[in-house]
Amino acid sequence: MNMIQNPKAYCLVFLFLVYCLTSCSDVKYSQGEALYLANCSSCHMPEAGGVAKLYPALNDLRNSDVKLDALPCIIRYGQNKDIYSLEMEGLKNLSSIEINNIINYLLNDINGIELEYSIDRTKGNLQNCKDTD
Amino acid sequence: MMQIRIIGIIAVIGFFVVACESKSSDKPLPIIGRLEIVDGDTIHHTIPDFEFINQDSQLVTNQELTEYIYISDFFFTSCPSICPIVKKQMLRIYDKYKSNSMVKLVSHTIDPKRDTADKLKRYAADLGVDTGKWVFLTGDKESLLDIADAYFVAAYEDPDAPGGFDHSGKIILVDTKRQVRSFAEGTDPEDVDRFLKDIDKLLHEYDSKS
Repeated sequence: MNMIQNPKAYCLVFLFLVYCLTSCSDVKYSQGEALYLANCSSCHMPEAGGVAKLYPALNDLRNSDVKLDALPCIIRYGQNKDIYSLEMEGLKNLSSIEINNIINYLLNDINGIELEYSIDRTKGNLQNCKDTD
Repeated sequence: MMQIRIIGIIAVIGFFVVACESKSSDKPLPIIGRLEIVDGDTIHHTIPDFEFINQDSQLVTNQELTEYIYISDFFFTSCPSICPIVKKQMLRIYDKYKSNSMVKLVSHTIDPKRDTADKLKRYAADLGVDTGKWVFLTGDKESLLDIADAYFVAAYEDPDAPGGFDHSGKIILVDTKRQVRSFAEGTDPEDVDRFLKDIDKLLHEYDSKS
């Protein structure tokens, strides 16, 4: 039996292609995703849509007032309570690499901004954080 | 042998279809809580008298709510765990009934020490809601924790819990007679879908009376 004439073979090839396409759409920064879901998602929501101004959305960083270079300090030291009614607490237990992974997850996987935020950029910004406490 | 199997499968599917249908019946919403019989009369559980202050430091009692059905929850602004997601669902309810003058929303803080009237006012502003429609209450801590009980919400101080308080994320529907008529798990959007239908059902009770 010639394989090319066998409809079952076509079917299998088709299913294999579908499998490939769906598995290729996985997140790029899976550690960042896991850290985001564990540390950020209960306030900023799993899809990063936030809740009104109370918990700002993180899925529209292109149009946000927040500068990308401010992100590492906000994640580590939190957000000043004078801006919002609620104070964001910092995630002081996260390493620079973990913070970097969260930022890359937000940029690439959530916002679709194709930008590799380098670890040097994260570390550089972390050295210049203003003490908010 | 094959036939028995097919009959079995049909029976199982049939069971689920029937079970689902009986769920979506047009029975009125139950009145939730323990019944008491006093002098031969059946007394339903009701929300007791309360006196709290709102986000504008004005006194609020049950009196202000007697003409409304209201949706209630318990939270605190510094709550890092389930409160944001519950608030997101409360916001959905608010958006749906924004223009229905029969409906109010009432959120109670269980952390009055930190959640002063002014703090709640800023919180409501950031939430972007009209506080004439959605009231935020604070007051005496014991009274707030006690009234949570009457709404069947577990709320207590617990130094080990995130933020210092442990509480359930229930959203509660109360009718004009202070009776609890439905609940939703505020952390479960699908359960809130069902709850929205319950609110419609309760509103319908008042439609048919007027």
